[in-house]
Amino acid sequence: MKRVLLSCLVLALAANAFAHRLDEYLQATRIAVATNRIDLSIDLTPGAAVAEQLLRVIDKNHDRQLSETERSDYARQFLKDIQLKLDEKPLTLSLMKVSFPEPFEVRSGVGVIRLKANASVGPMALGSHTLSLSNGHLPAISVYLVNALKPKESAIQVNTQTRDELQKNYRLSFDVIAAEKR
Amino acid sequence: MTLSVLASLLDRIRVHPCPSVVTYEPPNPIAAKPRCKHTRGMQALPSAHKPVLRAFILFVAMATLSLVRLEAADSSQTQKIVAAANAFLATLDDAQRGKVTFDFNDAAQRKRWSNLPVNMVERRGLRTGDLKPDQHDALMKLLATVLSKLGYEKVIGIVDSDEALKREARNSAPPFGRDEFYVSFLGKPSATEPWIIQFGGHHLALNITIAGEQGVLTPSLIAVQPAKFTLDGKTYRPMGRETDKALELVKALTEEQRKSAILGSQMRDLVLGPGHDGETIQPEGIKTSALDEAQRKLLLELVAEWSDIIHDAAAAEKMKEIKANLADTWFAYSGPFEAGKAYFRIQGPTVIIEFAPQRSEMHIHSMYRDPTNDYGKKLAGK
Repeated sequence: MKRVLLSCLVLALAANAFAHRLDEYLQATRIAVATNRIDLSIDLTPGAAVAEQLLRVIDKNHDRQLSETERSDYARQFLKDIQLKLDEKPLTLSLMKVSFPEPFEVRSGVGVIRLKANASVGPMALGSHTLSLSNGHLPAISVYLVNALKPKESAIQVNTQTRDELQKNYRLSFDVIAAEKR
Repeated sequence: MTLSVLASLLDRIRVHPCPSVVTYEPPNPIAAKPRCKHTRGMQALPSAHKPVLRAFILFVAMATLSLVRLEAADSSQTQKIVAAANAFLATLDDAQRGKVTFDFNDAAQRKRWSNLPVNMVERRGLRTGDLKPDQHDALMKLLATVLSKLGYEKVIGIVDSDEALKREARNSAPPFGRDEFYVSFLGKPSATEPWIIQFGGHHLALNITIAGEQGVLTPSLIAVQPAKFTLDGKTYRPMGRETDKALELVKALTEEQRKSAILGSQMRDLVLGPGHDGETIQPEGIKTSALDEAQRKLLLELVAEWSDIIHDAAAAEKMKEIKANLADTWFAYSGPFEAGKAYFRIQGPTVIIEFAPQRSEMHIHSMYRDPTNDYGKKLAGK
């Protein structure tokens, strides 16, 4: 029986290999900086070959269903693995929204878990600032993308974005500019 | 038509004995068919009347030609597209017309596109595999009208690459191939009111907004797998020029310029792919103002691989806009200096192009957006 299941899995993975992500967990984060808060939008896309590994992390009671509690617990666990700092001071992220695909979509490598989180920072002082993000979530199977969105406030002027090779560690340098200098 | 041609036409004009009938005698007399029983008795008018009559005929002919010219000017690309769309709709039965047409503001249908196969992300509209031959021909004529020659060939190449993928895939693979593409209209074909043509499937999503004389191709996903294939004995690279031109551009940069242009991190996928409408990321890389004239030319030639997919008139307008914003446009590159193996992004105020190989030069995703005008929102006021 195990051999049959294994053969099915191999065939399914071979079929999936034609279409999309397979053996990596893509964690794509977009950062929106405003003068009083930082918003993160995170898309998590597990490939078919790593989906079971991820589902085992989420499905704590192993009933092959993802309950609301398991989903929000996973989202909170994910945020704990993220370190966000503004000018070297850690920020606390609040989970704002979670959406989960069905487990079969995750298993087939097309499901995207979407999280939205934010951190209040109070009105930022004028001048230069650095925001850093380190993602330590499931590093053995993950690849990362981190990008700043174009700020909606003209007071924020992005200078540089720097990342390590895997984009696990990211730094955003920006200025908060006085109204008369914009 | 020139006056000399007109004069030559006039020479062939004969006044018909039947009042108000003027015939055109083609060079080949066999082709001239008698219009009435009097034709055989056609005779010349008295020579004294000829100059006046000829002048009158010349006046009428010139007036007619002016009207024809006006009509030609009015018969714009938009009107041709509308005519081709209506011709396609005319081949459908009522049920098919119901399936292919959506409200212009149908937000769910606008977003119903993806790089993924059609069994993984649902598409709606009419499936190419369900069209009869005359319906399929009419659809291809519509695509050939709304796209440029370059664009049509690229799109057909992408569809054919999916056919090649189907042939090399196992039976358990998702549905690939020429039959698995969908067409839909948001709004009704119109020369004045905005409407959208969607055509796509696995690795292809064209969202073409027609708004009066304007044509907008963004957002569109242009992807391919396999990027190089042989079908019926001929080898194709539907996105080969993009790949080669990007490499040529990055190789043309100086060491100093590369320090700015090259991102020091892996880019594993598109940042602004499906599901990211309305987002604009912070531009990175080297600003085009830091490039020399030859490098800027290479960059524009690369941009044209996306902007020229739409029909020539709309493509020319788009390129004009991109050139006007060139100084504020950025180029970023990440990966090896090998064709098709590196990520790159071109971003300006009205254009974002991303090119993202999927861990292989044989599997490429690219995205073409305009942060100010996706789905023609600037023109449609939506």
